[in-house]
Amino acid sequence: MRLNNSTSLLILGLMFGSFTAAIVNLLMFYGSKEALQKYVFWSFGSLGNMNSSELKILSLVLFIGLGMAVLAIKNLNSLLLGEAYAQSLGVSLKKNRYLIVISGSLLAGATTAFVGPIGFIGLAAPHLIRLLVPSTRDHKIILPAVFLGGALLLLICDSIAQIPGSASVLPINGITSLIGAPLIILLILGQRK
Amino acid sequence: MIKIHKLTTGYSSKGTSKEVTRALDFSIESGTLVGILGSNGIGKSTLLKTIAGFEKPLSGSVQIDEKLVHGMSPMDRAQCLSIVLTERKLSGDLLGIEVIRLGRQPYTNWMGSQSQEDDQRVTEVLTQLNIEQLAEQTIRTMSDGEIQKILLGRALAQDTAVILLDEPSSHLDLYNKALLFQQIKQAVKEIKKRFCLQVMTSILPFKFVTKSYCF
Repeated sequence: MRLNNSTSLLILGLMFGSFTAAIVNLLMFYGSKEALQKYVFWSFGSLGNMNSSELKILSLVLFIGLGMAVLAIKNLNSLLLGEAYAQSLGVSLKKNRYLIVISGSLLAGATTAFVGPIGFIGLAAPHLIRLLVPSTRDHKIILPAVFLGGALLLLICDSIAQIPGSASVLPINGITSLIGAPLIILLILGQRK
Repeated sequence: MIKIHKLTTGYSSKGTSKEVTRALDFSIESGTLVGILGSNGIGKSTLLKTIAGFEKPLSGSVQIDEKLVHGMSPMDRAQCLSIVLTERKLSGDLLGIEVIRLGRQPYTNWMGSQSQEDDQRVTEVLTQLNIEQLAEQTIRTMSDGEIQKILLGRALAQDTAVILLDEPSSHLDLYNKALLFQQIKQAVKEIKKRFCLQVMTSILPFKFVTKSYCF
């Protein structure tokens, strides 16, 4: 299946989102009190709730996802010229689309499953890095830079959430949204000029 | 040599097919610049897309040096066919030289790292088209004519036996049209093995092509 414009892709994404949200709602309705409480805490997001065996599974899946992303570097560079030119440069659009979608799903899905839905890092990091490294469009540099930059951004947000000098911990999802949302608004307004 | 044998182009989906051009038969020798002339909507671009391998032919075949275009792997095809299109969806942040470098993609390794030979070819193209001053400019700041030259340079850097041009002069004024066709003609002449096929709607390029087909 292919979609030619980004509006239909956006609408498709929103519909898929509300479909899964409906399933979650139904499950919550029939869930036990304890399970609901656990779910609410998971949805705040936390980097601290993992044991070492969970960490092993997460690392393995991330390793596979990142490996696939590295394999897509050359194709992503060709795609800077648009799909038709990429095709004329030897990119198999269909194969490449599968590679990118599966890689992205593995990375985002595995992370969300273990640390909760921490918003805005995934959206803000690539844009921030592109602003900070304006001299290149080469994904050989962009990809590792976003990987490390995103991790750094998350750690900064987590450090703020721990509130240095106090025993209480704020939900990290709140912190990333507080920093991320204004940042993205600024970026979009900056782009208009 | 490019051989087109009983080629019927068109689009098919869900069992129904719409023919655009029917049973074309012609061949093109190496070292020639061929023009395809015809009014709008008659199937020039569809023919070009079919030759390029973007669209499957409804029947018939396209051969380049005895090899079937539609039977090649995408990478092999990229090494014998390059294209300049009318649509421009390239990222505006790219520098001129980056666009031309991307023309070397079919020859690079899995990471897309470029060898010294690749760099040399890119420099050659920049000098050949006399566009060194555009190398460090972003696409966003270039005029239509300048982008067209960069895109032609990208196709030349791809070092292919065939270059397909879809109305390469459509964005240009008269002077730049003449200049561009001069450069294309020069490029075809310099490397005898190569030949170009281009779609055109204006009458001006007649002066430059070796042969033309009218629909």
